[in-house]
Amino acid sequence: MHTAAVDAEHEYVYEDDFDGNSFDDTSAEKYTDMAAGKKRNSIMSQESEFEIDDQLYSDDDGTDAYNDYTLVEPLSTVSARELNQGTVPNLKYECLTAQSIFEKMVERVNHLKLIFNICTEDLLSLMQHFDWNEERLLESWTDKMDDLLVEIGLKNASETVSGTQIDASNGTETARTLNFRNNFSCMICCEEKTTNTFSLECGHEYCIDCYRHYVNDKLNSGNIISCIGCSLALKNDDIDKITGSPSSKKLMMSSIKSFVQKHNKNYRWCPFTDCNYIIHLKDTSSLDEYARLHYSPFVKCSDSHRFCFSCAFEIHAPADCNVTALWVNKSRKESANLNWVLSNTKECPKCSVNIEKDGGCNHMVCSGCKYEFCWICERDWTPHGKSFYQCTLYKSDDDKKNAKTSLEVAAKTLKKYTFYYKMFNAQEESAKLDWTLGQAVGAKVRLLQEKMGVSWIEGQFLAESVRTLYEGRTALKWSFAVAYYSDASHNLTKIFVDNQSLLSAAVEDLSELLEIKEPAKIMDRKTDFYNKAGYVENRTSALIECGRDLLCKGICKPV
Amino acid sequence: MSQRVLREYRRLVAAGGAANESNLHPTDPADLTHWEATLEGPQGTPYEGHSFPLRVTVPDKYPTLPPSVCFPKRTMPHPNVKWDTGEVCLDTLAGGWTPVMDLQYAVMAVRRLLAEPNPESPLNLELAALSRLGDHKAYDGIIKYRLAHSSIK
Repeated sequence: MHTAAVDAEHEYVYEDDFDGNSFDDTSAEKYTDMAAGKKRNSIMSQESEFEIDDQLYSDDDGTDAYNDYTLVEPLSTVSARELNQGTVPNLKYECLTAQSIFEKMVERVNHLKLIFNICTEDLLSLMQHFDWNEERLLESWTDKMDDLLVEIGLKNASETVSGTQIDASNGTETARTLNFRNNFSCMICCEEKTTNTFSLECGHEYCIDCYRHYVNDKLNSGNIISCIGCSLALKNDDIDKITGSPSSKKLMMSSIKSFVQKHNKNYRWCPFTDCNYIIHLKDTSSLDEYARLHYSPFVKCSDSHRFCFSCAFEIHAPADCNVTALWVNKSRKESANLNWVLSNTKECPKCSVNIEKDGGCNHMVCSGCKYEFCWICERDWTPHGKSFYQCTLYKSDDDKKNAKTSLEVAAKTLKKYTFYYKMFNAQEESAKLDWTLGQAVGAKVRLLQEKMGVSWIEGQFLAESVRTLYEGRTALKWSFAVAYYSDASHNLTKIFVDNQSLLSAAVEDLSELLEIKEPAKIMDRKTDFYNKAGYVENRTSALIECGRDLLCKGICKPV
Repeated sequence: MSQRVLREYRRLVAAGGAANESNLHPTDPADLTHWEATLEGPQGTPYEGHSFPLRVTVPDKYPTLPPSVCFPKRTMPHPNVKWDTGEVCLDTLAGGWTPVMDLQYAVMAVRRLLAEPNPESPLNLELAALSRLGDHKAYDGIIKYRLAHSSIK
């Protein structure tokens, strides 16, 4: 039995297996060693299976899960020599939060302090200015030193090193503090009142209300906030003093958020609603290998949300990212919403976020990845700044030529598509119902504990079954996307379809079992649960592998 | 924040005509959220001899947020002004705004834009392209043609 370590911190380094099934120790996912072993074996063996024959896919001796295992297990040794061409490097990633990234940055700042010889807070601002990029900071620092501090507003332009001391000795006039003033007339709101004011060394003094409005307005930008009147920077302490709350935290977090979004190759937000975890992939070089072999880099956040790192979509095996994107786009096209999106928005050429242009000029800066591009030609902005402007013409001509013929093709494919889409949708709906079922199972487990005296750990087979069911359904769902793009006449496609129906039957079987309500009956059929869930698990990975094979062999051609 | 707008209004009235070249004034003195100004075409530009009305709208969160300015639609041929809507793309009135600036400053910034267009961030692609190509004859020609056929003389 795996011992379940409760993760108090979220900084585990997970080492994922290539199929995206992690065997880590979060309390939510407790594989028994046996189950994990089986899974690994079955995957390995199917790897080789393709090269030998396709028997496993067409294997329709159906219901007994253990039959399947006996078929699979001896083969795993054979597969070893072929593993090289099929496996991909393990993904090394960690699950972070904006807070933990910030803490790491602070740590780095403390290291850098020795080089810079300036206070932590100033260094933090410098890092913030350079998007937390140490190399760029160091480069600029060796270039400019003091000028850099002035440029960023950490130092008054007129101040020299000795000047700082003079200023400091000058008294309280130039200190960065809150002052209490009688009948202060504020330049911004033009009201005369007895109030607190704030000013930096530059002496630009404004009432605290105006300053607070100003600062609050800028907190979400993530950029350094300067004095209202000049470019001298407000430090985190100043910001907290002005707003009277730890708002600088918010500024730091938005700065980190923009850092994450800019570095979307290595960092990705967990796409689940309200989940604040960030996955940091340390080495992205293996992603190409994943794509080549039609694997998808599935990751899991500390909240056990599993998703694809490449496309930030749910687990979409057997489909790869390409099939998924095409399929999702296609199904969206059916909706009226997409028409609006198409006519009013464009995708950022870099990060593919949909952007609506609601005004302003054609020099677009993606709010996500900060990529600068031209709205007209959707290309990089840089060449626009220098040479002449090529973007007055729309490039719609090519599209029109194809329109007529594609109309006929579209009519033909629509029928086929509608069929697959219905299947896909049906599974999605069922998966949603399974989710609700999952909630009910929690109650069932409690009932088992109360009425039957079953221990928590013993009752977990129910929760595990639901998860297996959900994963099976998801794989089944996406398999229709793969089937849609596959050559239906090919033998392997037929095997794939057979596999679909096998998994489908297995899933329905398990689903039925989970409908049982009486605690006594549930305990009676515990072995059934194990068997059926194990079978679903096996069929799921078989289907996933078969789908991947379709992709690898080019039988599934997403266009 | 209305105190601030009121103060700006009083200051403009007190300063009189000479200090207020662009004749910046509220459309209705009872409502200080909508203002108007008249920009004279700067000398030595194709705009010379024409005058342009400019609408200034003061948002609720002014001066934390910048005022928005707009020419009447289809009256201003300029690389940084959208011909069909009259909207203006100017950094001072977007990211570059700080609350120490005021309405008059905003209007002056637009006036400066007439003399110094910025083809780097165009809203009128046609003009920006010509400006980049350095075809001043065509550039000036189009502006003059547009102005001659505009309803505002």
